[in-house]
Amino acid sequence: MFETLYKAGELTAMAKALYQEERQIKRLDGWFIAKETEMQMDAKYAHCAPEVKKAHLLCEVLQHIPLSLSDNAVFVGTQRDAFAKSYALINPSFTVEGFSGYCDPMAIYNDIEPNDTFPAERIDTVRQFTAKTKMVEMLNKTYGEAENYTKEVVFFVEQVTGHVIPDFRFALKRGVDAMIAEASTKEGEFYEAAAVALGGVKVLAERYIALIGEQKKTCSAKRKEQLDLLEQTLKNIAGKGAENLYEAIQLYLLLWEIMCLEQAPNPYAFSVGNADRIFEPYRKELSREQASELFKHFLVFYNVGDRSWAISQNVLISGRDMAGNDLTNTMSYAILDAYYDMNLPQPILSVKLHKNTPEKLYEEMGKFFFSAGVLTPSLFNDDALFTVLKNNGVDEADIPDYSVAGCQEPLIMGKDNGNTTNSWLSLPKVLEMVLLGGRSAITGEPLMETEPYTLETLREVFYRTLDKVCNEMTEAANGASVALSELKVPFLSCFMGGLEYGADMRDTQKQGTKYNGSGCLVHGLTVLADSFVAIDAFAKKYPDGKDLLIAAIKNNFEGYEELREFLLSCPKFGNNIEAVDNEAREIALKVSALLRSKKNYLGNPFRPDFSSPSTHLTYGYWVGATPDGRKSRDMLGYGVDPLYGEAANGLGFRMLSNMKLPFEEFNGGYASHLGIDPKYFTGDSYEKKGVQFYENIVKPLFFNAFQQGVSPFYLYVNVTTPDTLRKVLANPQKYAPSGVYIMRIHGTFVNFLDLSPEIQQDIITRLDLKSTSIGC
Amino acid sequence: MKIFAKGFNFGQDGPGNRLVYHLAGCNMHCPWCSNPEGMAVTGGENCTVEQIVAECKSCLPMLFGGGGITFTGGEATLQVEELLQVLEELQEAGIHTAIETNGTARRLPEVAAHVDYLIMDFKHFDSERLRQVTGVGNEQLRQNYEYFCRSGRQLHIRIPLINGFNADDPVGFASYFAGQDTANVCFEFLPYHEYGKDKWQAPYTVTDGFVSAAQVEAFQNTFADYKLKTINT
Repeated sequence: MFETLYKAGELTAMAKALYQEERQIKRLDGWFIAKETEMQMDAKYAHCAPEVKKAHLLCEVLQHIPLSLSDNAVFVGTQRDAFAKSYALINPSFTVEGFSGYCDPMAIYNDIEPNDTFPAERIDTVRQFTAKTKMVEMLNKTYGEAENYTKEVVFFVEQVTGHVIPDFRFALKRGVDAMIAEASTKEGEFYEAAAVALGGVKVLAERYIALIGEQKKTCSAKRKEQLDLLEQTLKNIAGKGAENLYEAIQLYLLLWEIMCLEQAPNPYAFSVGNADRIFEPYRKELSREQASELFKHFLVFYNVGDRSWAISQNVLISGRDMAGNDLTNTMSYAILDAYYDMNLPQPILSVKLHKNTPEKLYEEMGKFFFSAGVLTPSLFNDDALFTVLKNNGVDEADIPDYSVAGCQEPLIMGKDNGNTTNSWLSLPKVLEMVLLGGRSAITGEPLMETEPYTLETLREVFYRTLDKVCNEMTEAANGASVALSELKVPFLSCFMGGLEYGADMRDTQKQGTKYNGSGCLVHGLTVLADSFVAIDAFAKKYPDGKDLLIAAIKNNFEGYEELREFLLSCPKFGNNIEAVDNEAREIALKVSALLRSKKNYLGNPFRPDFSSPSTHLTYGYWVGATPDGRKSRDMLGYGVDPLYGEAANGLGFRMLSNMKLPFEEFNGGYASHLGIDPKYFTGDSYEKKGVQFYENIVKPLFFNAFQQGVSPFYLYVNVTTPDTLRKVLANPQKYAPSGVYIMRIHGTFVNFLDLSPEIQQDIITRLDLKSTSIGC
Repeated sequence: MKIFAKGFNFGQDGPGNRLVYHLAGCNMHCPWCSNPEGMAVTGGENCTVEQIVAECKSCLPMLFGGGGITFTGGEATLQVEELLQVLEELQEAGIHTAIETNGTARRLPEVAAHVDYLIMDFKHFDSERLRQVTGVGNEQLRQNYEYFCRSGRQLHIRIPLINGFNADDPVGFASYFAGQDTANVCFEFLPYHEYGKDKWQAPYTVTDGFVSAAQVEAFQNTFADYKLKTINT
């Protein structure tokens, strides 16, 4: 038993040492070895059906990938071999103008630096092989056809890897043998593939057992005991499932490693789901402290390399059931303890709340919100989200299992392929198309054909144009999904309902998951609302002024400063002003309905997701001046939030505007961020501040008796000030001696010090003191 | 009604979360004022009583924790007719009301009748000293204080502690206050700060206004000796 092997504090010390070892890793080559192995073994399985071939190739990768095991490791397993160093936001070379999306399947080969072991020719061989695959050909065709729309981001599409929540609970309970047995009783290529892929668990476990055997020959007596336990655990769990928390975590990590390797090099944004509910049944007699120490090793696993490259992995805790009973348990608190003590950049922590969430949970969250540089959980409102999911066809039995794919998109664990980031839409760019007759304000290039309009007919022409754009967008998005379906994922599919439905979860002909949809991330809601309202005011003042407005926009207001002042003085979203708040609501309703009317590759609706994971910067860069007075290439509003600088009357008014949006429509999710100035929270302990945070932020926003319709259901915060962050940047040794200063950006944690300068600046900018003020 | 700023705060200007309106214009000119932009009667945005009441009603979701609306300034009572109208309508709508005032208005008792929570500054017990520094003496202020004490209504007295002006004579304050019935009165000390210093367009003349912990403690102890209830918001 692990609890007799490790004395109190020892596991924590090992977890911290293990994380420090991980931070030293500068190269990530495992994904390349995986791709190379697949290439080398491709001919061997050429006769197999595509799913079966992929399952065999996965097992080959599991046979060939180099394994290692640190002396500080309590569990075997790593995600390191599945990820490349490519995620833009934490890449120091990221720039707003240089961002071209992370959808090019070949770009990854530029991320591996040639060296003696991986010379340029070796890399190039795999590159050439990949370039000739059907998936790449199909994807290139899709992008080629949509290029006019995507090059300045009227819309954007991508093939979605990762971004679901596997349900490992059955495997933990019964073992993969039971699943293999089930697959073996059924006929068809998918089931054949499933049995082979699930067999990979034993392949990997046996290789780790062999490695342990080697290490035992030379290790200390104490380490030998630890390795004995690990070896025995691997023998127990690979087929039969887990009996206790140690075994459950080990099996979970093994499954996760294989799942990620199957999608190397970009299995981003897989999420765990409610880890507290998954692991509590295995905790048994372990105390909160013991469970917490063990869970710290679980957390370290999710950090890859020197910048924790495996990003947007979400762990949830707490929440309620359908009857409203709170589901917080001892494991929830053990997980909180582990997070606080480790304070790692990954995985992300989210907390599900509801009106009966115990005060103790808010007390315990206080230390997260009010310790500088410590991660803060994102917050979900179960009471509201349950309604949204129910209205969108999710069965009641499945609703409490909703989880978060990546940042904030709600999906049902093990049952929902939401294809979440499949399409991306820039509303202000569509407005630009209408206003300028389909020509770009940035480059002057013709991008699409549009209708004539007057200032009076502008809205209707806009919505007709948007419909046309959405048709093009969804066609391209579906093209990307079909291309991706060439890359089968039989292993993952087994944990997504594949054994029930008999199909790969990426299958575009037969639905392999209970729920399916495709996402569309909608950008620039509030810029569009502000623009419409400003145009109305402009039309009143200058009834024949259309040409004047267009000239001003084309010239980025240079020479039209007075007009810009007028436009800027018009009402702006975020200040509790009825006209513009209603406009934003109306746009959100119309855009949501429009997107939901478009069908994905399986005939299921697109899901509106009003979020912008730093793309409010990159897409803003491609939008010219807008009629609200925003200048060319400035950022768009983040998610559903007011544009920076426009919510000048403080947090209270911002929240009131926000609460008028039609959250019931946002079944794809949405993003909203509040900067919180810690000085307004005066409790003399973290616990008291946590309760104040509930009273002053969470309760009014999520559980407000005056709310009409569905309440907001998502929020993330940064509790700090621009001044503090500038100090951290100027003197990291003083303010972040560990080298880690966690902030939130979009739905994910990031080490603030790891970010590119432009993203650092965005975080600072959006802490805009006027809009975050809760004092007057 | 002329308003130069508005926003929410929690528990600082009355109970719960409050929408605070800063009304333009002030009859005093305190050299430490943290809202100097509100001194001129001519500044601010002009809003009708209807607009203000409608806005307050639209803010109901944010008036949580027993919160409501607070009018401050400048000096809110300079716009007494409109203030009275707004307060009456808010009370009719069941919305909690508060004002923060310098206490020098003759019609303050009339206003206070429509106010659920009354905050009154009391900057100096010595009328001449107060007049010398702020331009207004304390005769009316004292009358109002004594009236409210007699009436037994809730009253929250705020004393800004400014070194070199009023921070060295706690007994002068306490002995005056204790001469009245203070059963429903609480007192709060506001140590000098310079949050508004950068907003001054005219030269900022306070040079040594910060008070020491000992000075604040002397006030706390003296008020305790006189059985005066103190609070901290």
